Amino acid sequence: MSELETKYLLEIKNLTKHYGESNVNAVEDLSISLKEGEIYGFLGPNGAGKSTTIKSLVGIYPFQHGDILINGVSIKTHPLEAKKNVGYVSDNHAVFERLTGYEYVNHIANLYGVDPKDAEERTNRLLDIFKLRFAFHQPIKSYSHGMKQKISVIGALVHNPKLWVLDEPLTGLDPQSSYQLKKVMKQHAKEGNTVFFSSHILDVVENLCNRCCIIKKGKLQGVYDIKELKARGESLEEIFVSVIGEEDK
Amino acid sequence: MRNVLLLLKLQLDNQSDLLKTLKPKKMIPSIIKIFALFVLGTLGVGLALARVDMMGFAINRELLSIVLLATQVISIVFATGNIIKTLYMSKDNEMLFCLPVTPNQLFISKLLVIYIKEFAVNAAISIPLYLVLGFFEKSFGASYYLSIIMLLFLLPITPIALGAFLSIPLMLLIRFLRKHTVLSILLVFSLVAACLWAYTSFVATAFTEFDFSGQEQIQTVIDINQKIVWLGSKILVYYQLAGAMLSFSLWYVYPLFILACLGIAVATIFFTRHFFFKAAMSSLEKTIKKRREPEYDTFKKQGVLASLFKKECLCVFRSASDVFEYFLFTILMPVIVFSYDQLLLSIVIDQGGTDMTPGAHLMVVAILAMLSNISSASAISRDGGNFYVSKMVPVGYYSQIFAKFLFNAVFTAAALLATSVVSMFLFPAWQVLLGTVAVIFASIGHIAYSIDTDIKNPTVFNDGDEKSSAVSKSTPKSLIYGLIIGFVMGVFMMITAKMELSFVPYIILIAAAFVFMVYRVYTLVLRINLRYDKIEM
Repeated sequence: MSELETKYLLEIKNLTKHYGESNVNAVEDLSISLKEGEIYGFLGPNGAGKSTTIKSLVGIYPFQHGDILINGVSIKTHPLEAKKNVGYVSDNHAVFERLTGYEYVNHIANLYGVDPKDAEERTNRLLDIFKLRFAFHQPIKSYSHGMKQKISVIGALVHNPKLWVLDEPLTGLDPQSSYQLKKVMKQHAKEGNTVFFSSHILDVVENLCNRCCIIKKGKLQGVYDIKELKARGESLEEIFVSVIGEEDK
Repeated sequence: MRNVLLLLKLQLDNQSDLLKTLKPKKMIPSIIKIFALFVLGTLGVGLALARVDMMGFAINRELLSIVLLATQVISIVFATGNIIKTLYMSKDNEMLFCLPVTPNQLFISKLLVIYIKEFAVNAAISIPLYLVLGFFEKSFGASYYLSIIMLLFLLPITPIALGAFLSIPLMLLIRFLRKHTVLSILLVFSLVAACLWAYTSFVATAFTEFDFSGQEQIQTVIDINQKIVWLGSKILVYYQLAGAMLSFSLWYVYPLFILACLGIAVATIFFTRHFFFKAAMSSLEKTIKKRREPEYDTFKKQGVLASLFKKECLCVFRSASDVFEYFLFTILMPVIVFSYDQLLLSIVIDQGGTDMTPGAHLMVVAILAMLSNISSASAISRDGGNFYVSKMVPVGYYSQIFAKFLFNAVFTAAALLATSVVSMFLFPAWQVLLGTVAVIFASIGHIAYSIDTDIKNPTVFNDGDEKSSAVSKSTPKSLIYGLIIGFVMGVFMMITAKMELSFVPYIILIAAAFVFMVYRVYTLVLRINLRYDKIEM
């Protein structure tokens, strides 16, 4: 597919965001584009602006300048339309603790207007993959950290979003759960959707993603094609350290 | 010992800023604040008891004996709650259990925290009360004031010991009820209804037994004084302590009391220590019940509004403490209003009073309706860390707020209708219905105000499973605003009752309440999008 024909599922254009009355930008003039069917890693040190960018693109944060287009629809001007195409897994794994897993997923499916048959099919498939069926009708407050993360993933995928956004999804997951989640991410991208996630684990990004970008202090430091890096014999870790380290010097 | 003191300081610092730094400069503001509260408390108690003193009630050994018992009963209630909260259900248990200290050191430090809290509660109640009693009864000498200081340290011991024993069956009950939410809600409401019944019965009995009208007031005071002397002398332990408070010659009671306190303290530590570790550990554990689950789950399609409404109901009704806090007055509204009306009608003695009863009835109904609306003051905050869901789903903010609004309005309206039905047994139907319409309008306005206040300044950094009102900064505002609305409505009806204008005041009240409702709803709707957008988490 030529560059002209490439369809971008997520376009962040000159995003600038600051909190409240602060004159320090948490994100400054950030522009990235994600293609259909790709897994995209979002890297940066703590406080770089990753979560701020993610929360802006899923509609949690308002932003001052720029625009974010999801499947061609602006989150700024047509938020409800844009949100229909997004599934989001938060970094705090907050899910309504007093609901059962079943009630939570059913509620989210209702809010997205998903046909019950489709919701059932997707949920049952994911319950089997994540081996969560035994706890699905139990209150979420009795779940472990990993189980909360899994139910949050099921909730985010119940409407089969074209763009799936995850904020540090692998933090605190055991190796088996981590493996299951990566498998689901790959499968989602394979079906023509886009997966965008932030992480500190460079190995995972290197093995899972098609492309990634690094930001620091809210500014884009570079976009990297993983295949090209591998072809050149460069490691993402070295690049990350050099990019972050150079600025510090 | 050093470890115990370190653990004690760690726990106290976690709860209060007073001892965080031992620099006098930083401690002075807190000390001034505490002192100011004591002065205000003493003045308040003084004003309240001035009337009692002027009426000729005797302040003597028997009365002191009753006061001592009453403060001990209050202390037991506080101590039991404190023990459950500090010993068994404290969130810091998980962290404290990991520290390199022995279990006994931890247990003793926890008991000391409870003792200090209980000492503070006891001091807050006792110091103003005893100082005021001493002020009115000039014959109380040095023995009395020295005894107050000594008793401040001794009196918390018995309530803590009793509380520690009471907390064991209570913890077992709490653990059982946690698994049976409906049962716990029924139990709590039955208890409150029983207390209410006991209170109204007590007031009604007092009014039949004693004549509070002008003609027989002196005889009534004599009768009550006689009852106090009879009752006070029967409370053996506290009667002896009251005697020691008034005379140095009876101070031999104190060593005996101190010995008894020490014995009780040792017995408490010995008996409750094992239960502490068991109960504290089990409250940290999470379990998933093994059940046979369906092999394929089917979903039910619901409209957006219905799904949001259902979510609100499930989240609130699954917490017995939230139900108690939000719906205590809603569910008990018909019972409270009916009891109050009956009481009111039984004690009113002249025509002026009779004319004012519909206004007094309306005031109580309106206040209870407003108290039923405080759940709206945490409409956003109670979502806590889950609030991001509200912003990421493709559902307009109006629909989301309307579901929260509806959740409150439906239950308040149902309670008001039930109350109006029972009120019709005591008041004319037209009066009740017109009053209810006015209260419904005012209530809708109050719900809109409460939600608006919470949207303006929500607390969305909690885990969404905490006691909801505790995380909302808007609850006190909503409460005060609601009380003012109820008070104003009631006073208006009481004033206009003397003018014999039939239904005209009700029409004016309905119109005013309607205007208030429209204004508040309009203000809320106008600002939803802007304010919702500004909420960042």
